[in-house]
Amino acid sequence: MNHKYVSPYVPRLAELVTARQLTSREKFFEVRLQDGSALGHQPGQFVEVSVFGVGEAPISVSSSPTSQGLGFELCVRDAGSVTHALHELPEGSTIGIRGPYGRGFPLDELKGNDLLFVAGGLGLVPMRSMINYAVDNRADFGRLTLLYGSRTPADLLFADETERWRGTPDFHVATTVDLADGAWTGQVGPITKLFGGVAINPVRTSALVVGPPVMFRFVLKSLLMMGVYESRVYLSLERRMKCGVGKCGHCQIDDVYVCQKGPVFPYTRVRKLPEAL
Amino acid sequence: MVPVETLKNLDVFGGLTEFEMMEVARVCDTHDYPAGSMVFRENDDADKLYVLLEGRVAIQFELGRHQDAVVHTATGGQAFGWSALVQPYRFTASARCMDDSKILTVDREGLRGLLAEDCHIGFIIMEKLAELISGRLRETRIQLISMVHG
Repeated sequence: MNHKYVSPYVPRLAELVTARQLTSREKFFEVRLQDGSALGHQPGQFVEVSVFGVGEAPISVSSSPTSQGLGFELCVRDAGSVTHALHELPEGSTIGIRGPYGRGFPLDELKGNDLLFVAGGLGLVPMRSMINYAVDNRADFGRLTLLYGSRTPADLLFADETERWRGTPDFHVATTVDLADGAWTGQVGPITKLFGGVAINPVRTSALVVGPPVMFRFVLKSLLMMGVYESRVYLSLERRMKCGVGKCGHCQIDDVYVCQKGPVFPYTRVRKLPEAL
Repeated sequence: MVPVETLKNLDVFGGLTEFEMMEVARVCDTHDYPAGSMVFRENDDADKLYVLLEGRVAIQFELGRHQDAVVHTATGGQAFGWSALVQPYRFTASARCMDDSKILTVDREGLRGLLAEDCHIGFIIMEKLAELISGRLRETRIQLISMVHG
């Protein structure tokens, strides 16, 4: 047998096939591994992206494993030295990829349920992977609902795709922004306000929540008041991800390494980690 | 005056008896507003309380010429313009119709007269108003936290 050992510390080379600005702060990248292999990820997982000479950063995968493209997609906010350098790279550049890492959404447990996606800000990036997975496997899931909140209309991500989801059978999409100008024709208010306009069957609904940690406590309260079972609420602590392999300890909460045990956790696990919420 | 049926199912009047609703209905009216029209402007005399029956209304602040900041969207059944029952009776924000809208208006002086005469009506409506303002305050806090930490 021919076993080829691949060190978890060595990045695989990949090409930035396309790079386009989505908002003033976020850029969308289509990435292809140079050895032609598929990434082999699950919705909710992340990769470590290296910009050579600068460093490495954990980034959630935004495309579904069911997508037809040869590569995978990332959406990155210009928020630090590595992400800034990534934004500066032209199409065709070579980057490094480690991963995919972490535990994503529990696909087998979600099958047969109605899905309520709750995404705040950049949380739509990993959620997009799960949403498109559910759309591509429509028969496996019941009613789909997306509640998406952003700071301003200019910060809304994947507007075209959100409209496409809205047109998908039995898929209810509601968006809101915290602050808008007079030209905005949509809803204004916090994401929790969207819960009032949602009709769900709490007994058969699984809620998936990704967003800034400050959003969790307000969203959780709304979900539990609606009667969604605690065991069917899943939160992604993706913002805690760091090295991906449990070595640096930056992702650690009590005895849990978020990079390895998460970033997706059932609420029944997270509620025992007060620091997480 | 509007038919009492108009008031039924509106949260702000929930808890009133049918007779009490009939009293309130005497000081109410309905108006149609086209999309884009202003219901009231910041600092206007708050002579009416409003309840949105159909459409959507943006609650906004005017930051300068042609520059508005929308901070809340009122949808069907929601009351707005609570300044009509809180001193100094000046609207603290502007209200603009986002769609063609049907709005129930409640005359301030007529309503204040009712509240003064009938303490049960007064208690119910002021309690609902406190709930409305508390909800808005909570929403504003979440929005603020989201803007700063999101």
